[in-house]
Amino acid sequence: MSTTVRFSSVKLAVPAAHIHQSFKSLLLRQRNNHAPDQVILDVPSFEAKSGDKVCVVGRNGNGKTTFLKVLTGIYPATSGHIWTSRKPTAVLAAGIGLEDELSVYENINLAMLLKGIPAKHAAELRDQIIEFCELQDDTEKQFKHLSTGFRSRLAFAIAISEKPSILVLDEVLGGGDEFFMKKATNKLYQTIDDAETAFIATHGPNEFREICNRFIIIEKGRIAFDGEFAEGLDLYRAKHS
Amino acid sequence: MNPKSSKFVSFVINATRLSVFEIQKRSLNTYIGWVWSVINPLAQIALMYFIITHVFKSTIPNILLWLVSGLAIWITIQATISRSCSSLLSRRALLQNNNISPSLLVTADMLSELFILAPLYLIAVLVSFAYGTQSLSLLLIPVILLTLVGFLYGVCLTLATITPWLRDLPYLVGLGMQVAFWLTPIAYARSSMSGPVQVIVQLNPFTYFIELSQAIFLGKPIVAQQILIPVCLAFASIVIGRYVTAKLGKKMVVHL
Repeated sequence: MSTTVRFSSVKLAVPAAHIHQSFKSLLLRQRNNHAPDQVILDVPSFEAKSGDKVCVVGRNGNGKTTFLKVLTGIYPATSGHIWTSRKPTAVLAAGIGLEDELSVYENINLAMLLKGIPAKHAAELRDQIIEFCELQDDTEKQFKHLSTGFRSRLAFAIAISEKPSILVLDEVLGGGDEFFMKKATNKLYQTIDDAETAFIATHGPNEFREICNRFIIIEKGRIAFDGEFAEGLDLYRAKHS
Repeated sequence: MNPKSSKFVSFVINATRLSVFEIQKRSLNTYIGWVWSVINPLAQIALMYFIITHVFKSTIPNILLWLVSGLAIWITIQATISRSCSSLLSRRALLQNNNISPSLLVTADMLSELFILAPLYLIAVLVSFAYGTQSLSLLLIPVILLTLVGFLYGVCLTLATITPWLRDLPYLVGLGMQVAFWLTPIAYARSSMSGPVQVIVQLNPFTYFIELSQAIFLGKPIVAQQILIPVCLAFASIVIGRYVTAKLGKKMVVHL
């Protein structure tokens, strides 16, 4: 199996001090300017191979999302090197970039544009999204006039619309009725299954037991465990229960 | 087409499409839509025309054309530069959750402001025909537009990238643009200035774009220097903008 993702001595450091919010604080708290940077991600070595479906867990604020953002290139590593065989597709938050004033149709077009999907593929994807959300009769409706459930449907459908080679997923399943949630879950599993390599950050690893073969635990910005799914899940539960 | 050119073409197409969304968003739920974006500058030009002709009693020949050709480009420059400060800052969530090129967002914002120049320049062309000042210089309109796009691209990239670190920048830029307006020969001719003020006006990069625009529409003879300076300014601006983005671009996302 070929390598699809490789981390070599990757670190992400951010300033420990807050940005000065006023001229007074800038003058009085000059010491903070010299505060050392705080390392929020430290991955000496990591590799994922074709076929890996990696479940990424960790308690709040321990660096799961940061790990995914560095992997997708959203955050630049302060040092070290990240290599990926293809450009990863990030599905980190649903609904971001959707505009209240634009129609369903325009919002999908805008999202396709922001995702960098070429116009020739965008039309086909747009039809699939509308059909998946069951919004065929409301394509001209402004986003703000959709019900909360339909907004979630649209946000999810747009987020998961691509067929990525390397999928990087943070929990994106939102609201929706019982039947749509079932449909959305199936679609999510299908997308994960279709991806060559997938990373799924979750607080409910049980849901991905059937689909993930690998488990990593992130603690304080480091990979504390990397191995088989069942073994990792047992260890994670034992640590925190 | 080689991969580099194809990437560039796709970047321009995407930025243009995104700018259309920006224009659309700005004028939604209004009765006359994008026309507001044109009415505002026209009102500014009318007001300035009244002040210059009736209050300052200016003797500049073809004053209306002088003002339209100078103010059109100034209004665009001011709107574009002011907008650029918030181009990235206002899209924090988008940038922190998607691997989107910051340059694309900045360019789209820039183009969405630059579109105002098209109807204003059309008016300037019509006025130049009405005044009988039309000449072959009008063929230089694409040249000034291209140099202006290049110049603003660099300035906007730099400002948009630095603002997340220096949040006071939008206020400073607003202040600076007000001062720059009076240090640019829009409401007066550079030749009427003397001493240190003339030097300041000469050092002001905006001066060269305004003067080239006025020369094109007023049918004045244009020397190579008048084109070369804006071209050099555009080139320098792009180099600085690209350098700042390369150095700070991705780091900026963490600081948003």
